Amino acid sequence: MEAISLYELNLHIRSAIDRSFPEPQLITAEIASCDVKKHCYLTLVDKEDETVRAEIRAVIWANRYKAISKIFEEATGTQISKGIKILFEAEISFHERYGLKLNILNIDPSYTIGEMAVKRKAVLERLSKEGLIKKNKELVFPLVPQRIGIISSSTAAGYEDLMTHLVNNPYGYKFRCRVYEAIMQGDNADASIVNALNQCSSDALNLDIVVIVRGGGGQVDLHCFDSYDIGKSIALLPLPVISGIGHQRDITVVDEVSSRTAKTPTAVADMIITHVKDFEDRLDALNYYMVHGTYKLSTEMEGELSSLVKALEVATGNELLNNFHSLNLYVKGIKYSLKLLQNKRHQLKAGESNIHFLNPRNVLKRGYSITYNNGTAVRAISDIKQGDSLKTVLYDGEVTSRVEGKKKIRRKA
Amino acid sequence: MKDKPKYSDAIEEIESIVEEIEGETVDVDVLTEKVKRATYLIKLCKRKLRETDKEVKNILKEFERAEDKTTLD
Repeated sequence: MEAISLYELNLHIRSAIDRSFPEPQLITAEIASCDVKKHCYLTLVDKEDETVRAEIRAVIWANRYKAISKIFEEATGTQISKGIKILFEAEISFHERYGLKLNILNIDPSYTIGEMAVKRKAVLERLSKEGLIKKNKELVFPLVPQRIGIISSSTAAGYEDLMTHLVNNPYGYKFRCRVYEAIMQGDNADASIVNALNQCSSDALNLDIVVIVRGGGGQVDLHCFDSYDIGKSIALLPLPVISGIGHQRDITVVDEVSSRTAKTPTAVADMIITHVKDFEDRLDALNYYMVHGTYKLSTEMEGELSSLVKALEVATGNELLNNFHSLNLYVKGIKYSLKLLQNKRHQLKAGESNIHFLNPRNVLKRGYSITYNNGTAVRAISDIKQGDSLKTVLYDGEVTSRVEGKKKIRRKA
Repeated sequence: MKDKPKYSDAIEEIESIVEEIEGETVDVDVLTEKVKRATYLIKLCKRKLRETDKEVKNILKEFERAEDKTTLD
């Protein structure tokens, strides 16, 4: 057999491949590595149960990469990056010196969207099966979320937005924020966010809630927010989480697992501020009902008190007691007046019953009688003498009688 | 008074006081005490919303002094 040169061999291979694949081919594969220099160099793999059964190098030339990546990111909300599955159209090219390489001409984002959805669904099902999916939602959301753990990259625009809104809230509420730095995109994001969540967990006693906000700006790498590990860490966190990872598409695993979700970091800030405002409104309402109730109670006793209650209303309503001591005075004033009124009321009540008893008819009813001698009521023994004819008036009649005898009783004074 | 009264504890107490007042079942003496207590809690909560930890602690001290005085009456 005659020997051929390596070059001749590679020319044969090239022509064999060209004959086998005269047209571009549609292929599905997972990106194992992605390196964007001028061109985008990829390693593509095909896995069966996590074992790589096929691998090949691929390239997206710079002139196509810009358009392809833009369309892809807009449609999927994620970058062309490691771990993503793609369906693409490629030329199978073999170069005598550089070997076999796929030249990617187009990527169909809808396949990746579907794959991500499948993966997300699987993660959600697993979290659900493990009883984790609702855990964070079931935590009691604090009345006043004032101490906030922020998981973000502190240099990111989204973090700035959140802080600016919290600090400049129109009601003057004070929030105590602590940042837990994390990488919010790329290969290391997963572990970094889990680590930040663990730190929040250790600080749980000093925090009311945890907020996860993404960098913002043009970055669109949502891939990591579908991670099982992050989902599990959120589920096991003893603090409610608000996710504000800012995207318009399907919700991510992080959104599903978090206690609450907002579209943007600014919306997260608004959600928190509104929550605190709701609490303050409740305080104001209670204050109103208390003042009103006190007013009602006291006006029932006497109208004279209303001015004092109004003073209380002014003191509690607007400035909410600028001066605690002056409130004390008001309260004492009211207390004193109410006491006085209550005493008066008691006296009045007692007076009323006296009047009732003093009505002669009522006295007669109870068994007493009035005796008249010549039309004058008999008050003392000296008013009568033996043989007098007396008229005795009872409750329901009169008796006439004659005096047969009398006896004076000496009473002690 | 605890060093850091929880908002939830405070509002619960205020609510029960207001309920009693609205139910008109309170005695005059108790009424004024309760109005005073609820007003104190409302004011405390409102200030806590707007102050730093340190400021809140100072206010609490201030309140405690005022409370001590009033309970002597």
